[in-house]
Amino acid sequence: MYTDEELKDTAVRVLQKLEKKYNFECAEVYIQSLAHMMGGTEYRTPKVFQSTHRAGCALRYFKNNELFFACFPLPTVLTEIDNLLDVTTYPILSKKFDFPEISLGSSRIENIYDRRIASMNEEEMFNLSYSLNQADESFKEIILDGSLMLSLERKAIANSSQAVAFEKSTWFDINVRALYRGFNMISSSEKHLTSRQIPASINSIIDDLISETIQKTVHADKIENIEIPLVFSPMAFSQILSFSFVPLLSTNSSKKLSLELSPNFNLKDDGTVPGLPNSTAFDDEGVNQAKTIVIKDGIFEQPLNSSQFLGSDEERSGNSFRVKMFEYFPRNYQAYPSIFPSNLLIGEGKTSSNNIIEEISEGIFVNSTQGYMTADYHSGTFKVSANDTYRISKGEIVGSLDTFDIIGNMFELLSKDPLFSKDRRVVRPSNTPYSIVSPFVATDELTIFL
Amino acid sequence: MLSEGIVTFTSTPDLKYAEEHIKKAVKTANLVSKWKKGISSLTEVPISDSTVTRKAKINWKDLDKSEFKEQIRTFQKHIEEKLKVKALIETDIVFLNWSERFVSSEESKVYQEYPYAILTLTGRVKHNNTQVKYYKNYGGLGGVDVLPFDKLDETDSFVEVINNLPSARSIYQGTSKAVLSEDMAWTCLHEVLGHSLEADNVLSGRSFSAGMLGMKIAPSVVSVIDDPYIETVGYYEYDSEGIKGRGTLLVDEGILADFLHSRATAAAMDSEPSSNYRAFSFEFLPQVRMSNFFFEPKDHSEEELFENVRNGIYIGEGLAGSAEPQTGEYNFDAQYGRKIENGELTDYILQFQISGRMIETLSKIECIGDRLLAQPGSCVKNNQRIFVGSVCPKIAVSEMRVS
Repeated sequence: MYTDEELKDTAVRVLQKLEKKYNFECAEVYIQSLAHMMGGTEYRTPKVFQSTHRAGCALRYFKNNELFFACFPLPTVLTEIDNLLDVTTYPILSKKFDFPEISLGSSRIENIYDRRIASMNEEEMFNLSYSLNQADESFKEIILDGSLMLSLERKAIANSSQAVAFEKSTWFDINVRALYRGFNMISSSEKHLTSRQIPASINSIIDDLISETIQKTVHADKIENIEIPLVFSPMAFSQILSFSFVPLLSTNSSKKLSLELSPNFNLKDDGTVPGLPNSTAFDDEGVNQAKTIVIKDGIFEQPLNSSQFLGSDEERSGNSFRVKMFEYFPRNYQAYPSIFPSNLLIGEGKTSSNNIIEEISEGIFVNSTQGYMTADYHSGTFKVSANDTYRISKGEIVGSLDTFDIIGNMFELLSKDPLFSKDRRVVRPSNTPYSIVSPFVATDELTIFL
Repeated sequence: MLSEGIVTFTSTPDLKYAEEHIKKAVKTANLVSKWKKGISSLTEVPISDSTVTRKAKINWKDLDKSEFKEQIRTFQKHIEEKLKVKALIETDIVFLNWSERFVSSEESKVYQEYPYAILTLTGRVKHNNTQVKYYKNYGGLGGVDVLPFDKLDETDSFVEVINNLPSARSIYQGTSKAVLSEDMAWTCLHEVLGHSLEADNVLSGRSFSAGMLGMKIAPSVVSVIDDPYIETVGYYEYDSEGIKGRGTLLVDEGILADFLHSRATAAAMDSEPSSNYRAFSFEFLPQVRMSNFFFEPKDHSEEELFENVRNGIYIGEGLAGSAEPQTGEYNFDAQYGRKIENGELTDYILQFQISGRMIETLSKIECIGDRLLAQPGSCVKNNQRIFVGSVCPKIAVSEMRVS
């Protein structure tokens, strides 16, 4: 593993070489070093333990006012940039912009680096993952499997502003799955948690999973009436929001947000909250993270931006991230920087989720949705399969339902007074690089297709 | 690494750290084996010693830059001249030179190198003030030579869809007889049945096909094949554990005949490895993956498929959706559709969704087209993306749920 000093030093040396050899007007160097350790157990398949290391360098520079991008493995970057002009043949269509001034003054966020994760050895890792096996042995009706993943990311950014930003972050991911033992093996429940430190105990996560799984074994009568209220769990709502709405929050798409939403809907992006999954001192361009009020009382206030896409009257929001979708650890130096939220916080309501459900005589609770949904953020429409759902009858959850489709429009849902719960959860929607702090959400604006 | 029945995996971008990481991986295997008995073994296979290097007939690097830019401009101009509606057209081109060197302690040595090229055409038009998108991929194994620069007519069907989307109608929710386009037939087959036939999914309880080996799961007209030798972006000659590629007949006239295997899953299920254990790069643990996975073409012309359906819908290329190989449930978006009236294609239909259970959909296949269409595709499994061939003929089904 490269040392912290080696990473910072390489960033400076690459930048100096770019400036001296090519005399670029403006250049940026981004270095990422990533280490994962993954352990766990999976039903009937070989136990696999993995450690993965990634180290690479991405460059952006302007030559004759044209923007170019290239990336190289770290071990060879200093020699490969000798052929940089042969590699970067075609420019990226972009107006000229300045890379940000890297300011080191406030570049520190608490609770995003856990020394125990960074220094964990194999034996400790497998003691942790072995606890999954032990949990499995204590439940007779259910087979448990899953994995734990520890990640240490270090990034260094240098640009022509002559300063180097450097940060170390750690993550702890747990994925657990419960399968019914002996019958109906095609039914299972899954849970995912991302945190910046090793949780005190993984037992509470497993207990939640077990209770959800047992709840699933009780089947409810089929729903006949399709015009009934739906209550979404934070995960289910965030999953839909992430595809049908979140892409609109960036500077280059936010024109649509002139529409008026419910005054109960508040949304901010905050990459500075200690301990949240995507808090960092600065984004992948070296801009300090900020709290950005995106929507206040239903009215759009400010979009998320990057240096490349920065409105003339906008403050920098620090939302430029290098993300390769569909990877365990989606931040990847090989990806071109794009605008993504860090941690989105949806404003809470005044009623607890339990009270919301108690007030519903007939409805459906949607705990999770399935797969990669269809959504169009231009029109707000979405269609999604709800595969973990429960019937609400007379204020109580009475049993699970078969998978059904939900069809709706997120703009309409958000403009027609949805009910937000007081309690919120931190979730990371699948296939997104950001987290959402979301309440439970009740609405009767959607159509279900049984 | 396989030690004491425990599989460990490690990767590093820098060879100077390789020895350290290998030692850690061996230590890990020893640690784990003290806790729990290892369950993995590998099927015996012949030792491979081979070098495969495929070169593009026309490598983009050899082209004069301004000449290539001119070629792209001519290509775009051809499309724009055929447009009858206001549309924004984007052309994205990706050239990929993929290579893999495999060495094992059993003394297998394989080096393989392939060029792939993908051109994606994306068109955006307005429909009642809402933007509608349609995209289509071209390309395969090779370089500039496999892109449609010299075969501009191949883009005519793309332009025709773009020209008709602004006046397309919405679909009526319900069920209908249907012809699935090659891409949608592949999407359904790959995402639902295909992933359920990957033996690691079968073993881990993530497959609705588990326990169905030898059973009739589809009408006799249906045979399903995985073949890495079709010259698409799914082409390879050896998998990532050095096994020589071979085609696998998975569904034989409706009977589930086999699963896709790695050496470990083949050992666990007393079968043969099928050369499907693949990783996109050294960074990732290989998994059991499809290559070019398709319905075997039968002898029905396109006209016969539409005539078979007579009145129904034609389902265009897939856009997105979700599939659950554990239950066989799926829903996919079609980028567009067309009505079929009296065996002829008529009005265009706006983006819509199809859904169902694969085992039921398979039972409703009535006939399969006689022509395979190969396009670039990709597949994500457990957060690892690889390129695969989107290869399939059109198929006709007696019932499809649409919304």
